[in-house]
Amino acid sequence: MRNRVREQRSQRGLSQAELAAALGVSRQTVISIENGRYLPSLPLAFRIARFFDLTVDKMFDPDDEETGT
Amino acid sequence: MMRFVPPRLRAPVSMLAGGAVIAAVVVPARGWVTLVALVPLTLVFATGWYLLGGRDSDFGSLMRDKADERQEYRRLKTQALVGIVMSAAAGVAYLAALASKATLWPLSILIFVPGVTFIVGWAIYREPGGGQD
Repeated sequence: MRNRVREQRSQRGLSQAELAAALGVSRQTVISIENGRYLPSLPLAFRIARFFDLTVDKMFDPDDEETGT
Repeated sequence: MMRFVPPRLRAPVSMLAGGAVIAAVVVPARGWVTLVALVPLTLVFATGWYLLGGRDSDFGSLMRDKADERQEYRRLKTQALVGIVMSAAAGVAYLAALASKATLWPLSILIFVPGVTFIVGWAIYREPGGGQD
């Protein structure tokens, strides 16, 4: 599943550590999500989408099934 | 009680408490000499755990009791693996004890407890009003 976390974070000039602190997760988890190695839970996916003022389906693209948890 | 202890100190404090309990059980039976090994080991583990908790890594988060959902999931998978390996090892040890006519009851506990725990856990962790098993 592809996501736009890295793209959105870069657009806002945030570091991975700053995004991690805002979402209440570790920097390592932000890295894993950005790389598509970890699929966040539904509550975390909503937190990410809301943080970037996007909907979950805009943030995460289920059509690409390359990666998973 | 642990709520009053900072997260990073919880595991080290538990280890020190565990070491004290072990000492209280072992010293009367085997004498003060056991403390020669027990005290340094306990201190090394507790200190090491505390120091690892300061690292900016998945393991560090786990050590300082601050794991997020991915790290908790990783911990759960690791614990599941430990459980599987331990059960298999207990099975092998039981067969070995059976073959060598050694004492069986300690290994019987190691076989019995995981089985019962699985059944209890399966019942506990069902969703309320959830689907059929």
